[in-house]
Amino acid sequence: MPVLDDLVRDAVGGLVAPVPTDAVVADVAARRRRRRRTRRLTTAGLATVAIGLMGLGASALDLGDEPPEAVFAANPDPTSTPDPTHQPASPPPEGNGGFALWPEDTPAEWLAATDKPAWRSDSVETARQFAAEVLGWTDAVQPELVMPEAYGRHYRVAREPGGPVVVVHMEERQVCPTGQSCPASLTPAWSVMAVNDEPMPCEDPMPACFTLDVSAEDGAAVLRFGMLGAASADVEVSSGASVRATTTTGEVRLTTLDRALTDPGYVLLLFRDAGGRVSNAYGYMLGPADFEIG
Amino acid sequence: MDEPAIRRFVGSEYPRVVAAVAAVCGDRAQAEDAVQEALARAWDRGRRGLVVQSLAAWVTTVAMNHSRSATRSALRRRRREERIVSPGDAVDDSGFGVAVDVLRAVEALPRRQREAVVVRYFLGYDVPGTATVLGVSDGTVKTLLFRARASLAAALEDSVDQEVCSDAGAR
Repeated sequence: MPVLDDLVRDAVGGLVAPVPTDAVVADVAARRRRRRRTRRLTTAGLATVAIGLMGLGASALDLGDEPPEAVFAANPDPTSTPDPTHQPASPPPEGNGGFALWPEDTPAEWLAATDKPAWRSDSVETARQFAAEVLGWTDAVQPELVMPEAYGRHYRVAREPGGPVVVVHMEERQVCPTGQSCPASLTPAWSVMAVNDEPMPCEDPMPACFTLDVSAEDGAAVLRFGMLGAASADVEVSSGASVRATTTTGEVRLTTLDRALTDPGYVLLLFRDAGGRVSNAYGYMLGPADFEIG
Repeated sequence: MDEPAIRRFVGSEYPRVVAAVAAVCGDRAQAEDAVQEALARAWDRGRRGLVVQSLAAWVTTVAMNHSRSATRSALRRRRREERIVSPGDAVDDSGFGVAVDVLRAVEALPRRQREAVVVRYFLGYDVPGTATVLGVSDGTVKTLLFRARASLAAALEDSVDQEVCSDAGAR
């Protein structure tokens, strides 16, 4: 049937109906406000938590950005290799609260790290180092570029051939002292912005989708998430300081902190199998707006 | 993702994405609900620093995922009767009848085949793009499309045969 494509196109095209833009945008905005109210509860809890984390010292883990990579292009080529001339399809969004997830998660740390190792100039090597140092995947296979058209670089990394996989979102970061030219020692370097198990957006209520709910309950921040079949999960929440906990149930209650969170931060979950090896990871960057309390 | 971007999307691609999701889930109200929810998420994620490279593709994916659920929004309840193709719809001879037949045939496909057909043939993504939107491999898309085309061809041939018989009987 040579015209089947056209038949489908015409038939479904018949369902296209004009919409009142203002009304639809208003509806979407209302949905967004509802989502934000829910998120504020989360943030309030996280703020409390993060504050409570003070005194625990800076975290050794640095994460960033967002869960299931919301960044994806329509026509990726999973087999492609990094292109040295690759240009971002779009600039980084404004208002990104966090600087990066790893190795430096704040501009101050980035500026202080003047002697960056050579592998920081190589996105693949930086992804590999992240897998080794943060996930403990010292024998990870060669990172594979996915979503080449998306902003930054996204690498799929396997713990071992046929083993667990995560997707690491990288961006080339740079920060220079205000009002000064950027010293050669502060040339752009690759940083990890997020880590997830899949590059594709996966939204609830898909049963297979990962979900993380954060709420404020009785002055504590409570995180609930699916365990994804893991035996345990290390939870880290950071905002200027960090607090960690381990759970086997997917629910963690973090003690109240005594100051409001104002620093960008992150949530990092490391799922472990029965042998204690990391089998999955999620890193969410939290911006200042996430810590606003109604 | 900010309000101007959302507004541009609503003013341009929104109707097509709603139509695509409606063709998949068979319910326009549910499709609108799913697409609006996806847009709200995209907007919220933008605020949190996420880049959505292809808003239409992202929204399509999330909306199709969302529409799989049995979530009942107020909108959906209010407009549930607006199913895009009711079983009793009359097939007229104005040309729209063919479209109804095609939609019925599409609606009769398994869910994944339906999604592949709509994303590939209506939204116009290539095979890799369709694979990305559906979260499956290129090979899976090709298989889904192959099976869908065979089913659609059979269904539409039956439909044509019935119309011919009906016309012959009338004469």
